[in-house]
Amino acid sequence: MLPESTQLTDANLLNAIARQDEQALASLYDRYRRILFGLLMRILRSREEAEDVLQEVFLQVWRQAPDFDAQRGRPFTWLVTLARSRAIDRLRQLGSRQRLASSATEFAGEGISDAAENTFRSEQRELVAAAMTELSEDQRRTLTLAYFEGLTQAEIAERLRSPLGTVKTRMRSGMIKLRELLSQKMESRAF
Amino acid sequence: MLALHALAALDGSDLRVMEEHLVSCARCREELESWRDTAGALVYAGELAEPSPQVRERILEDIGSAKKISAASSNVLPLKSRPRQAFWVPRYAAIAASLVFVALIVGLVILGEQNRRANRELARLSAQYEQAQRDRERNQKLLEILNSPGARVAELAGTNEAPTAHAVLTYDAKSGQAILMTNGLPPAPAGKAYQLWFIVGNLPMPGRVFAIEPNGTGVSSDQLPVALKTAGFAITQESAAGATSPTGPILLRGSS
Repeated sequence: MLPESTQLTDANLLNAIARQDEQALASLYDRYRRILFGLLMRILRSREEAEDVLQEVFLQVWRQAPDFDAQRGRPFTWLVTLARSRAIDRLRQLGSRQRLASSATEFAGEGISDAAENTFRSEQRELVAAAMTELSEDQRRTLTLAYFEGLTQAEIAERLRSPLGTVKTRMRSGMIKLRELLSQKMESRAF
Repeated sequence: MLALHALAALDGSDLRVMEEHLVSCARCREELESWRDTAGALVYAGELAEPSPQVRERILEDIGSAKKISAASSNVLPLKSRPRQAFWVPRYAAIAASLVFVALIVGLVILGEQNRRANRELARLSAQYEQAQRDRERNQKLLEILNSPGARVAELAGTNEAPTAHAVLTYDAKSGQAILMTNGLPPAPAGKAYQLWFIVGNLPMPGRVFAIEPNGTGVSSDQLPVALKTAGFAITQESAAGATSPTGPILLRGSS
C-alpha cells in the first residue's frame, strides 16, 4: 500500500499506479486536478465537457501508467499533454461552429487562492507568469491561442488576420524565448 | 517546427511531414519532449478551477470496476488474491445467510400480524353473524307473535327517572310469548341489568333481565304468566342476576 503520498514525487505515484494502486491515482488527481481542470475549462469552456475529459484523462493514466517511460519525459508534462490532447480532440469533435461561438467568452477562473495549491506549484505559476510578461504581445497572444484555445497555426492566422508565416515565426520565437526565460529563472529546478 | 508541434499547433502538410519524420528520428523525438516541457509550463499561466467531487468518485469507481473485470478475466490469478477471494466468499455467504434469516424473521412477523388481523376479522364477522342470527330468530318470533290470534302490543313510557326511554312489548295473550324492545335506556353499570316486571294485581312478578346494546336498544324474549291477569308492565334496574322483587325505581311503565 502506498505510504503518505504528499512527499512522493510524480514518478513515485506513477510507479504505484502502474501497480494498480488506486490511492496513488487519487493522490495524483488531488495534486493536479485544479490546474488541469483550469486548463480544460479554458480550452473547452464547458464545465460538463471539462469534467468529462478530466475523468477520461485519469482513466487513461490508470491504463497507460505501466507504459510510461520516465527516461523520455516528465510525468507532469505527460499528464498535461494527455489532458490538452484530449481536450483539443474533444473541442474538434464539438465542431468549429461551437468553438467560434464560445471563443467570445473569456474563461474566468474560480478565484482559488494559491494557498490552496502546493507551494512549489505556486512558485511555478509566479515564474511562468513573470516569463509571459517578458514575451511580446504578439508572441504571448499566439501562444495563448494555441495552448489555451487549441487552435492550429492556420486557425490562429485566420483569427488574427495575419499571414501564416508570420504566425509561425511568432509562435516559434515565443516558444524559444519562453524556454530561455524559464531556464534562466528556474535554473536547474524542474517543474 | 518541433516547438509548434509541442503546442499541437501544426496542421496540414506541416503536421504530416513532422509525424513522418518523428517515426524515424530519435533525436527529434527527444527534442520534442523538451519542447513539451516548455509547452506544459504554460498550464501555470492559466487559472485554477475546482471540478465537482463527483469526478473523483467516478474515476475511482471506474478503476475499481476495471480492476474487478481485469481480475475476473485474467487466467493467472495473483497469489495474494486467493486468500482475499477465500475471505470474501464466506463473508458474502454469511451476509447472504444473514439477509435470508432477517427476511424470514420479517416474513414471520408479517405473517403473524396478518394472522392476528385475520383472526380479529374472523371474530368480528362471527359476532356479526351471531347477531344477525339472533335478529333473524327474534324477527321470526316477532312475526309469529304478531300473526297469532292473541297478539297484543303494549307501549312502556319512560318515567321521570328515564324520561327519554321508550319500550314496546309485543306478546301473545294466549301463549304468553313476548318480545320486549327498548330504546333510550343507557347501558347499565357493571354488575347491573334491566329487568322486566309483570304487574299482576298490585304485585310485580319478575320477568327476565336484559342488557342494552351499544346502539342503545335492548331486546329480550320473555314468557308472560298467562294464567294470571296481567294489568301492566314495568322496567327497573336490578342486579345482573335479577331480583325477585324490584329494588330500584320504575324506569318505564305501561299497561296491558
